[in-house]
Amino acid sequence: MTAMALLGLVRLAEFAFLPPLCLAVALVTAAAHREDIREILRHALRAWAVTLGGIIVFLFAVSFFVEWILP
Amino acid sequence: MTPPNRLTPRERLLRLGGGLALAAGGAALFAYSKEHDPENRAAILTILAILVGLSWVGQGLRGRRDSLVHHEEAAPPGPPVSAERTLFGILGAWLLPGLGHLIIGRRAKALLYFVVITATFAAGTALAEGRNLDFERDRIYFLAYMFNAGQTALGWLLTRGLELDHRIPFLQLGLTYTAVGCLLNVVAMMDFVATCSRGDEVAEQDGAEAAGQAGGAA
Repeated sequence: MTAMALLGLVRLAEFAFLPPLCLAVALVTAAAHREDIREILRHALRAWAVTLGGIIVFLFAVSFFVEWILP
Repeated sequence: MTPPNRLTPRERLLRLGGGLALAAGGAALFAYSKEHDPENRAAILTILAILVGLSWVGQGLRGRRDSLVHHEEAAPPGPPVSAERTLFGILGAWLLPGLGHLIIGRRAKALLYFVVITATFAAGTALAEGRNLDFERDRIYFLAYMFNAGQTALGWLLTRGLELDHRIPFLQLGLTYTAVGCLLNVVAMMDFVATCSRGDEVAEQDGAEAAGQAGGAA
């Protein structure tokens, strides 16, 4: 979490607002080019999970680098 | 025939050029915002623009339209839509998210777009306590807001008297939510145009088949 503060991009309290925003983006982008609502929801949930997982892994990687490698 | 997720050489060039332009524009706006705004409130929006631009460059280099999470299939055809209705629908979607799809009878998708985009826009306005729609203060964000004209105009009318007279903890987050909500309306409008185009393709194919059958019968 220090990494986030260092980056100045995401504060801890603001991180809680990231999943709903990701969900909105995933729903709208999954709806484009598709017609079946169940198919849209399935793709949106997968995109949401992959995106959030990617962000968390990225933040952990940055955190690890800043707190363990740099010192 | 080119598979639906394969890009033609022209599309690849457009993705590469557009992606580089978007990433460069995002970087330039980030530098401008950092220099002129002590809080650099446009940081997240400009970083998003850079990431989307880089994603387009990646698609252009790979020659594929799909990403790690979105694998595009051949979309189902729709009914033919006249050019007038298409233009009217684009204008409607610009004024209110989902209105274009409602005009051509895609009610479920119209409802989905309206609910998701309006909720994102409203959440952004609530997080920023109504101080997110000031043109003088947040000009860069209005580049995104202009894609959702109706809600932006309504929000501006309702909140124009509010001043930034105290510290708002989630102001930047509210601005980001609102801007992303408005940019999502671009996706909805592009999907509307693509849906109308698919209807035209079906009509053209049906016309060609009918002409072929008539020729065969003669």
